[in-house]
Amino acid sequence: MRKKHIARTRADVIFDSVNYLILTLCLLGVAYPLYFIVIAFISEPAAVYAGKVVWLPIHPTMEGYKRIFSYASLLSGFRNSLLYTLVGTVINVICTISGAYALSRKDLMGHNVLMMLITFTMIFSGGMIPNYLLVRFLGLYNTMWALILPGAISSWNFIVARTFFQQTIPDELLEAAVLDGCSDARFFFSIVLPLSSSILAVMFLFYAVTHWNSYFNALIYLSSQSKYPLQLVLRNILIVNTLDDMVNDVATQAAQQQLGDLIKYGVIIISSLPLLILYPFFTEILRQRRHDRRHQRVMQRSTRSIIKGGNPMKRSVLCFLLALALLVPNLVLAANFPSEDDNVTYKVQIRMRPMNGDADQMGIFQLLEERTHVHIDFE
Amino acid sequence: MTDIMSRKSVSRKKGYRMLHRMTAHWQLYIFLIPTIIYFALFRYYPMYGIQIAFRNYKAIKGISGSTWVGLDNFRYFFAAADFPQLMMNTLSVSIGTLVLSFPLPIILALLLNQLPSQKYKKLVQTTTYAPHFISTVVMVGMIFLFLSPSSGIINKLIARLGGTPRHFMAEPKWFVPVYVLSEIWQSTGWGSILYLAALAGISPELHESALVDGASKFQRILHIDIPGIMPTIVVMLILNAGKIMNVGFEKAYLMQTSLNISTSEIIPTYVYKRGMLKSQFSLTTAVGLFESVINLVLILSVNWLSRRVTESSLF
Repeated sequence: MRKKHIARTRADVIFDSVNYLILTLCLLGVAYPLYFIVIAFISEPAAVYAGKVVWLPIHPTMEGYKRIFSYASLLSGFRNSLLYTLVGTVINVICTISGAYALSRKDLMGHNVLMMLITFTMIFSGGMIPNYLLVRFLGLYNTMWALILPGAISSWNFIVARTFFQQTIPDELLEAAVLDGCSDARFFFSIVLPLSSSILAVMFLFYAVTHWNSYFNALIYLSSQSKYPLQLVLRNILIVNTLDDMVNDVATQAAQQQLGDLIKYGVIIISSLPLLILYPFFTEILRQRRHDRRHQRVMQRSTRSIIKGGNPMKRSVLCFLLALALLVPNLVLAANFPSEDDNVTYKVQIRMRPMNGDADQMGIFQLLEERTHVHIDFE
Repeated sequence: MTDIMSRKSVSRKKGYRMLHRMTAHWQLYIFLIPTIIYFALFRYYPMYGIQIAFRNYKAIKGISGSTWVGLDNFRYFFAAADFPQLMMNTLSVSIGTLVLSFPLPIILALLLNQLPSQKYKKLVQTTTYAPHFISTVVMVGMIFLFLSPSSGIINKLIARLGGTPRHFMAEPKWFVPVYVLSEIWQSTGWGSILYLAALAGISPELHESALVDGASKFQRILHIDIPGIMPTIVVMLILNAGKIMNVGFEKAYLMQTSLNISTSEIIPTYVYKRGMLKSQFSLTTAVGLFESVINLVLILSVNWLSRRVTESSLF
């Protein structure tokens, strides 16, 4: 009682009221757009279009629902997304958890080097095109594996999982198990896994959400529409605006827009449903993790010191050397290549069919000269 | 003589011990197989593929069969007419995002941490985390819906206040503000989690003794909370600095319209369009490499700087 009395001075009362005010504004600012989508979806489209729907839905209808379920590509997208998310997440969790556990063991030879190599991929990567060429080379293009395998492990999740094992599985437990003749695999399956349900759940949810929400890999690695995941279908509905097959029965422009908007509000809600179902689990896990002091440390430690052991200077230098080692061979080879000053002449014979006038053909060569900076002589 | 002998046996013993340690944990190495294959194939092999930035890549000849062209691809990119515009756009999007959306989660966490009502705190947290789970596609879809000139709620509001409705997504000057604001709306709540965890780690005794000395809440934030979470702030700053050139491709690409392209074309979208849609693989790999190297230099220098200044760093 007395403590409370000390705590609330005049300055604190002001602070608290300002604090409540700011956070309430934040709350409304975040919640209102979400709320608006729901009321706009169940209101009469004309009222939404006229801007009358602000706080409460007007003339609730279920028209949007009917429209959405008649849209075939949405359903196939939903099905594809479920499949990709399920298979992808299982692979993600298996690879991440097993690898992270192995690397959390300090008695494993080379765990520092491997950890450093993994961390390095967080700050340097091959980039879009080499990855794309690799996927094509492996024959994964236009298969669901192109969406799953290139992202099988996220470095960040890997580091979080490894830190969790380091912090929560005491060395004494391992020692006792080893004394009793327990093998590493047995120890992992019968002792570590049962103790790690929370990190398993976190990994599962993080990966599942990433899969469900991603569209970029599908955009570059998939070519047939029937394989499109939900997000790519949504992109067409929400952004590229290809609703012709659904709304061509509506005559006027305004009505078309109204119906289009209604469908957009609807697909936003439908596509978020799986996440809405998972959301309580998220908040529950986060709350539990925060209550458990050990888990607090996991979050902090995984950000604070990603690579353990060695001094910071040494680690920086190693990172830098690694980057150099990857770049230098290319630069050396590039430097040895004849530069622009060396004139190399190629004789090429090109036979062309007469097109409509020579002028067009010369135009093509002029364009070629401009683009490639190569001088072309004609004989 | 005996000295050499013993040294030899010691080294042999050492080698034997190493081998023994490795074979004793063979099961752990089996656990590692997927990880090693994945990182070697999908993370390090593409780095080897970067060499096509220095070659004139032809699909028939393969990566190592294509001819070397030295730094031609880089020269071409730097000399291209759209290079300054691309750099400007990329930097304004990323620096705008960093400057505005980096401090907000920290402020939110500090305020939440001082809230007297735990129930209200939970409500605010649960609500502000939610947008994080909205996909980029849906987020951009919402932006287009809300900002629509004919039916968008923002324009209805503007009209009601007596202004003239604007076509936000068609005006180049609105691209960056809309991008940054939606980023703030979506990520501030989720970003505060890390700082809340760090705040929970500050020992309560510090706050108690400050209370006894009559420190106000504001003073305690300033002198206990902020120094307490400084290491976390620094680490997050370093990680974010590494992303300066690597702004969210996914969102910018979706937010592009043919009318706002003059501010919305950033390096990653340029790479995608030129590389994927026009198959200029070598040029775009060079552009991507240029971007990655700048990121690497940025992250290492911010790291170095923070080690010098605050004595906490990532590496």
